[in-house]
Amino acid sequence: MSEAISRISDWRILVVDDEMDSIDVVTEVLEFYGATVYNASNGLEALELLETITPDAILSDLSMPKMDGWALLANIRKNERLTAVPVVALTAHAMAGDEQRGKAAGFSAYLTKPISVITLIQDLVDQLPGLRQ
Amino acid sequence: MINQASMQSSRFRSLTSLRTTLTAAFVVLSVLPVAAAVFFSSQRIQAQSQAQVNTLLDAAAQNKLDTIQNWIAGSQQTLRIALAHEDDVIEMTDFLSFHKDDEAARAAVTKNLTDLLAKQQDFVSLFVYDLNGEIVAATDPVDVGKFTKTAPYFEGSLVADSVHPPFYNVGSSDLNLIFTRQIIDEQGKLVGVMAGRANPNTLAAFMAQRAGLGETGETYLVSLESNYFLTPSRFEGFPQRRSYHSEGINRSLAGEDGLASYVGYRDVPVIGVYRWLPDLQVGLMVEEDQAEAYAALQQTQRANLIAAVVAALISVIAGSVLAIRIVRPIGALTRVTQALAAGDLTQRAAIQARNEIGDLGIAFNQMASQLGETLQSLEKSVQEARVATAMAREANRLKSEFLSTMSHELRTPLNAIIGFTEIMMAGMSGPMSEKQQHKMSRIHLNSKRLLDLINDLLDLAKIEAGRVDVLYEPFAPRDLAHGIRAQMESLAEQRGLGLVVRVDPQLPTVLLGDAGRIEQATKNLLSNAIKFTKEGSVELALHANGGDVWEIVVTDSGIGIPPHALEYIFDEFRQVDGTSQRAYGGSGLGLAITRNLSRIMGGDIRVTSTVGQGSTFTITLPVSLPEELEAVA
Repeated sequence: MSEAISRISDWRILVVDDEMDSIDVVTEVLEFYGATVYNASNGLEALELLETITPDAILSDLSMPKMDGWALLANIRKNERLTAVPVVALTAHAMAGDEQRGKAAGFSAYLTKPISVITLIQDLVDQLPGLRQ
Repeated sequence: MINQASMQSSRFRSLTSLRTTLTAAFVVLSVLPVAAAVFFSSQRIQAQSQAQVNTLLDAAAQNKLDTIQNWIAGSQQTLRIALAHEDDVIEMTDFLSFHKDDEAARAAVTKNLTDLLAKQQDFVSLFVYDLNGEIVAATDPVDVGKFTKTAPYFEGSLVADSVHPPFYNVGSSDLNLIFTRQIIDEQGKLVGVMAGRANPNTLAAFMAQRAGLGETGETYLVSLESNYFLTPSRFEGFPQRRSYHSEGINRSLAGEDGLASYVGYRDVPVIGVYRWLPDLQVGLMVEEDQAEAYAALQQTQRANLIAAVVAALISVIAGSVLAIRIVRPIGALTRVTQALAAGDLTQRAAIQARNEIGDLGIAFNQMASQLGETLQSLEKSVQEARVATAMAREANRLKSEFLSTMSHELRTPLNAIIGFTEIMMAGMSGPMSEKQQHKMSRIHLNSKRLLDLINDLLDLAKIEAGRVDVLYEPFAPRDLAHGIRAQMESLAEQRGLGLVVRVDPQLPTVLLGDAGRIEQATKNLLSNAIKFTKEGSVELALHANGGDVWEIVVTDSGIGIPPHALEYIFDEFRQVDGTSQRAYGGSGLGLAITRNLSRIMGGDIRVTSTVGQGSTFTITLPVSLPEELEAVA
């Protein structure tokens, strides 16, 4: 746990979600452990933001207005600068097959809501074995 | 296409055979009686005809016989009359006894003989000879002085008055037929014989009378002497003085009387009547060629045969026509049936006649109509079913979509509730008092319970929607059991219960199945068992059941389930009663989910329980072995 925390303490993480509450929960936890968090309420906003920053990881909801998580992922994967950035789906779509679909689409990890505050960091680190040191 | 072709060929085969059968039946039925009638009438006609011929020939023979016998009697009478007067007898006996050399006496006797000859037609000459056989007087002067001692009739003429068997003179065709009359003197002593030579044409004239005998009928006399003919043959090229043989001739000369069919002397089949004439020692033959005798019969037979053939032909034609008339509507019906089978439901059989086949056609049309209606209603049903299926599919899609949305929409606020609660509890937002801490944990527990409920509900809905795919992957039951223990141990410990896990050594080390689902079902049973047990222990046992199934048995020492409740504890939202629900919490969906999971994996679940002592839940699952293991086993 403490090893995982130390890993992301200097990270810059983009959290994309149309639900303010969801953004706040995740942001509060990540910031508590020392990460720098950027917010966007949909895919389009996220893309705008990504023109100016290159985060260490992106946590994105899937169902969002204007541009959803799938389209966002597709746009990110088109950008050479962002190819190495892990994109994690953080979604309330927890039905069977959803995770497989997400992984197949190219999400680096698939976390379902409600998240566990206690294990969020550990889950992230476990699901992203290729995280840069 | 193949089906149709074979149907067509079989159709032709059966029609041909039906027509042939009917025709053959007609022919047999009509020709047999005709043939029998012709046969029996022929038999009868033949018998009648033969009898007729026989009667005719027999009558002819009898007639000839009578004629000859009358003639013989007449001729003998003529000779008797010649010596009827006493004076003439005396004159004759004197002449023979004393004056044989007296020319005057000879002249007187000769004159008597000549007078006598003139008075009758039976004899062509008369002569008298003495006991030495010397002719002493004769109507023909050249006869006088000849000796008759070597003549065939001489010996006989000394014995009695007689007619003698005819004979030919040596080396000539002159036929001799001699009648003799003894000359006896006053002392009763035989002194000589008077003889008359009969006209040799008389017999021929008799035989030439062939009235009623047709073109080939003839009568003739045959001599015992060398089988010579005594009367001429009716036919050219058959001289009298030749030996003739045939069955009839031989029999008559053997002294037999009778009638027979045989090959005649001309080498032609004849029917003949033969008689033996003992007076003349000759055979009398009456013969007619069979060809002529039976000509009428043969004509009748031919006429009969023609009639029979004509009748047979007519019946064959009539039979064929009838057969065609029977078969054609059937053929038409067959074609309509084929059209119907090919899908043309508008086809109807033409009703040609109001008979059984017509009735068949009517029944067929009714059937076709009903078939049409049935097909229409069937199509309607299919259409309705299609719509219903589409609607059901749509409803199912909507249901899935609804479930997905529900899940999503319920999780989103729960995410915030649980998230913020955990942030608070983790002290990320600063320290809290013990009271606050306690209330936070209450919020957290209830949020978790709500989440479990949502998860269970979705699980159940997914299973019922048939949206659960069961995996068949190798897994180790022993590892599974220990994994489950690791997860459930802490819960049991919290309740102060022991958790015992047993794995039957007989159980295969590797099985095929959906380990995730099995784990889910087992954990449901275990958490129930722990929930309803206050003290004692809970046991999880995996049994190899010897054969096709294996068992997961969860036993507790809990409150037990009353018998009436055993029926519905697997139903959704049912616990034993309302009190239980409140006392033990839970969604009430665990057992329903467990049973559904067991069933979609091809197994089932059962329970036995005693109130106050505990319950035993048993999941049975089919044994499915990985192929390589199966091969070894």
